Amino acid sequence: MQETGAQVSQFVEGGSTFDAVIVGLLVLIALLVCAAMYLQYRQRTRQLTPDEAREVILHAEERAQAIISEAAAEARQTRLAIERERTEALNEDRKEIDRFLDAYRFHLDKTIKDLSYGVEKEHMRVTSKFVEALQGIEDRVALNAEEAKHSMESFTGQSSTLFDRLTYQIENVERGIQHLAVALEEAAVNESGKNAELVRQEMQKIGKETASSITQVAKELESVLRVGIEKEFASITEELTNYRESRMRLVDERIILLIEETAQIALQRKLSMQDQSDLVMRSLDEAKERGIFV
Amino acid sequence: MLVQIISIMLRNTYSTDELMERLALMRNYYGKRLFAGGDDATLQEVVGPLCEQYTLSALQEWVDAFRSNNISPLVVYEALDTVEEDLSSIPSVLLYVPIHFNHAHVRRFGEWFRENVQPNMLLTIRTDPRMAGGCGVVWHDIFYDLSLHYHVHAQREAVVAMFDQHTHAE
Repeated sequence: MQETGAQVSQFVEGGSTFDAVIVGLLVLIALLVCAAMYLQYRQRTRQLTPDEAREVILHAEERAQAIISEAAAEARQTRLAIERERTEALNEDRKEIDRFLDAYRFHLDKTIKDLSYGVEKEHMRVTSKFVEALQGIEDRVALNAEEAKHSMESFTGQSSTLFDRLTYQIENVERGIQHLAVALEEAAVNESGKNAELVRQEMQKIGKETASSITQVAKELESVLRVGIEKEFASITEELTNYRESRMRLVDERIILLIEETAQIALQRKLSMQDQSDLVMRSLDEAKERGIFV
Repeated sequence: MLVQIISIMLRNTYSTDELMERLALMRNYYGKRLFAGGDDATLQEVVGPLCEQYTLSALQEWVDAFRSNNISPLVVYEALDTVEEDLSSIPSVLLYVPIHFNHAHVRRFGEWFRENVQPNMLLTIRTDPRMAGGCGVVWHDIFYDLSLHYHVHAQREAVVAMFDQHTHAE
């Protein structure tokens, strides 16, 4: 019975598929043993001799043993059948994987062939984006030029006002000179000594006023010109700086992109498996130095 | 006993894919020997047609080690399912590489991780062409890009300066 128990425990530890079968068989065996013992009890109560009773018990044990052996054999056969199915399934899986790998290699070749076209297409896309960005910058420059033009017009307007004022002052001088001429004429007619002093004083007065007026206008004109020119110069300088920086930034982006794409293609096509492996190892060493695997 | 069996298996197994394949092959081999009357069946006869020579040699090392450690075939057979179920308890790292590497390189990567990160570690390797020039690693649920893309951008200033130097740009 202990042997039987060991065998049963071996199968109980086996795959879960057979657990139900084995438990069922064990229950059946238990029922049979109980029935045999019950019969034995009944027969004993019906005056069975000890020898007969022993024989009955032995018979029951033998039957139980036979049933257990049959169950073990059946479980083993079932398990073998399942193992065979697993093996066949594994072979099928391998074939499926081979088919998949063939298809993968085919697509990989195709992808590599299409890669050049893809890269060229990507270059076109990036170039187009680059041109668009440049166009944007040019539009901004044009807008700034328009603003500069407006500023120049404003500046011209201010200058025009100043020139008008200058013209007015010149006209005043002309009128003063005419007034002086009249005074001189009068002096010729009247007493020359008395009027000569009057003319001199008048001329000094006109000269002073004229000089002061012209100096004032000239100063204002110079100030307006200097401020306007400096302002325009600063604006244009800033625009040029921005334009240059934007352009350089775009060029830098383009350089990085080109280098990365070119290197990727070169690495995929030109490097051997050993080289690729070395690059992986170098990356892992760097990752360790960066403290990633802490 | 289970720990000893896993330890023997991991001696020459570096990736989860390898381990899964070898467990299935071992189930075939010991199933044949224990339950199909193939007491004298050799590893070559049972699993030879199903795998590469490299894998067959690795499995032969397993069988020899089990025998020298007095681990019976039945115990090994019953442990196969447990090992497969408890696979997640073995420390592992996800490694993205640009091309499909052969066993020798997988072993090289695996040995690096066991030496530098954690012993008995298993690699889960995936192929991604974007990892050209290096690799990518998922460690503690964080992805680290160690590819060309990362290196070029890390050296961005130097790359642009070098380019400018060679093109005489300002």
